[in-house]
Amino acid sequence: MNIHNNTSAVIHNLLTMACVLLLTSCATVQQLDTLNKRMGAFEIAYGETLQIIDRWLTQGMIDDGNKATLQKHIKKIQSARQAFYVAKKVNDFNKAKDSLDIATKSLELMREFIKLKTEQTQGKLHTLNPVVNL
Amino acid sequence: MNNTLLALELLNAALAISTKVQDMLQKAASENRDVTDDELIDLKTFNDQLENKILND
Repeated sequence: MNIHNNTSAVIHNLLTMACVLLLTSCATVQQLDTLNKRMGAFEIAYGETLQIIDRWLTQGMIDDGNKATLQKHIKKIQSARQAFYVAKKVNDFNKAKDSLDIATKSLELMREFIKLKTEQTQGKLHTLNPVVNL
Repeated sequence: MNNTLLALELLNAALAISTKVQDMLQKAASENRDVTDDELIDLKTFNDQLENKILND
């Protein structure tokens, strides 16, 4: 159990470091923060998260309840992304920025949900149930 | 796959995100330009497909 807790703590710290690295990369590499750069970073983060969810779904590792919750998060992000691209197309940059903020917040919430569910099942590795409750 | 591996997969994803964002920004910076709309649309198209796949699962 201690091993799992230690592993969880290490992973937690490394995840935090990765997030800090992600955020500082925008500040160190670029002189100017633009809407396209921010949206590009968002799309990359979103794509990586979607790939994990898709793989876990394919492997049958997500139960129906968690799947429905994840789909709800994805629908919120989908709406915000669509609003972003529409606003950008008509040069409504304030609306585009607001939509990106909503999409980013929703993605953060979804990743928190995934992390929480993963941590909650730490220490339950030896149960006979083959389905991991995300 | 156990839960420690699931958590490690999340960590790997976080690191992959960081690397990809760095690459995208560095490429734009080296060419002294912004991230282009075409680059954005490529990322969007890929994500749209995955998004629809998961929502229709």
